Amino acid sequence: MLASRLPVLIVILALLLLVDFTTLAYSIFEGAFPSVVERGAPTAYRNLYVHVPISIAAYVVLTVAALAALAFMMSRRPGFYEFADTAIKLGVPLGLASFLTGSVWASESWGSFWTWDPRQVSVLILVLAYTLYFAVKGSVKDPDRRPLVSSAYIFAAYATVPLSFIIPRVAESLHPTPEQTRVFVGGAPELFVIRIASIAVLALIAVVALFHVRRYNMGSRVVTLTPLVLAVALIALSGFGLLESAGLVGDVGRVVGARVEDGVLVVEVDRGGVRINGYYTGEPPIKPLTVTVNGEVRVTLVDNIILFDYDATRGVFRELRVLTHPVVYVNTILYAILAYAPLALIARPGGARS
Amino acid sequence: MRLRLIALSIALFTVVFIAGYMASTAQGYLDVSELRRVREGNVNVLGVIESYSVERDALLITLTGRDGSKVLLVVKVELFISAHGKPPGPWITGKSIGVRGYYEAGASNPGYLGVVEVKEILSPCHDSYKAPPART
Repeated sequence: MLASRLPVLIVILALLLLVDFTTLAYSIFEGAFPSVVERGAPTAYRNLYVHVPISIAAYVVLTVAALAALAFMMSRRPGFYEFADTAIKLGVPLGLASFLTGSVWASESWGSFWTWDPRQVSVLILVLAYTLYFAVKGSVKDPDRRPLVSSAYIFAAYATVPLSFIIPRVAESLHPTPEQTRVFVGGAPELFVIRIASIAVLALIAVVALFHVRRYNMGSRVVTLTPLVLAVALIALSGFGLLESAGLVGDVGRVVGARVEDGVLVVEVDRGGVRINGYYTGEPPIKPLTVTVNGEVRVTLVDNIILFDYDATRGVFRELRVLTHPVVYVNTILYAILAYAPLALIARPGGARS
Repeated sequence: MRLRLIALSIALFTVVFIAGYMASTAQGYLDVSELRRVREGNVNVLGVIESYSVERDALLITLTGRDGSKVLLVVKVELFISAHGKPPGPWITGKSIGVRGYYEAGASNPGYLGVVEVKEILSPCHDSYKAPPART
């Protein structure tokens, strides 16, 4: 009966992958972001659509693994252990993705890749604890005892999940609490909610589908090829974004100052240490162009990375376009590698059983 | 046997949780007010910039904690510019920052808990989420 459900699960999985891919690709180029930020480029906060969903997906999958491990310890039904083991195989790369995407984002928005922040340290501990699972499992030679020891370990390692979740609430941290993030999301909720739902549900369905694939030792070409094709597409899109922000398509710089004078935008751009000043009269490259924060009017273009066409003789910017900060593209590549590719690896014939 | 295994895994869960908490917070951040517990050494401090002044190549920042305690930060202007991309100005007042540096408690500056020689400036992102959303 379980085997007969597999084609349906695989179709659902493929559809969810397409939804996840589409919303992610849209988010990194068009997603809303906080207009004024404490440090770095505001568009770096498009990582909200990459880092937060993948972190929640990791929590969900590891929670399912812990529940399945507990169910195995209580019932001794081997299916529960196989389910937990499959979930860990997906949860570990998701946890690693959470750690790496968070650190890459921190390099722009906190000021350093590694900051000893309690949340950052706790997620690293989570990744190490679950990575050690494979060594613990491999060290038990007796096939009867291996599921017992592995399940006990999976349950114990799960302590790192609630720990990393609560730590920004109980310790001083650079990392926001979910409540603080929700203040922003309250202004632009739809895409953010869809992103979280899509990867979390996708991860859950993936665990169920891969468990079925493993149970019946059925390699699935759809589950192998779909994520691989989408991972390559995400990497290609991000690669294009990286080339653009590296200045290989046109002039690129960071806006260090901007003001609106008589309805005209006056912009100061830093391009590799050289300051360029000029007027811009075209369509605003960012909406809204100004916001009031703490009673102060701020031009939202400031601190963003822009692609521009500058007429030096007239001191005029002919074109200005806000680019997504490169850390978002780097994280999208990590997402493709650590969230999509493992699906293909586990679903190849015999891959799930190893 | 079943109960023993579950009890063992719950005990391990507790050990991992406590050890993880201690490891995560061992190098963690202190609010300015918590510097009262420290005499001297490397610290990570969070607070809000109350005021600043520039003396030659040094930026002197008054950082306040939750209970109004103050600490004096000594930052090289060069370090500040490399962190924020622009020189200090009135825009920094009221900003939350995190710094890593060497702290020395002392009463040479009345009203201050001590002085931090800043080695690295970090920025918490809590307040960023209060800004309205923007789109391109």
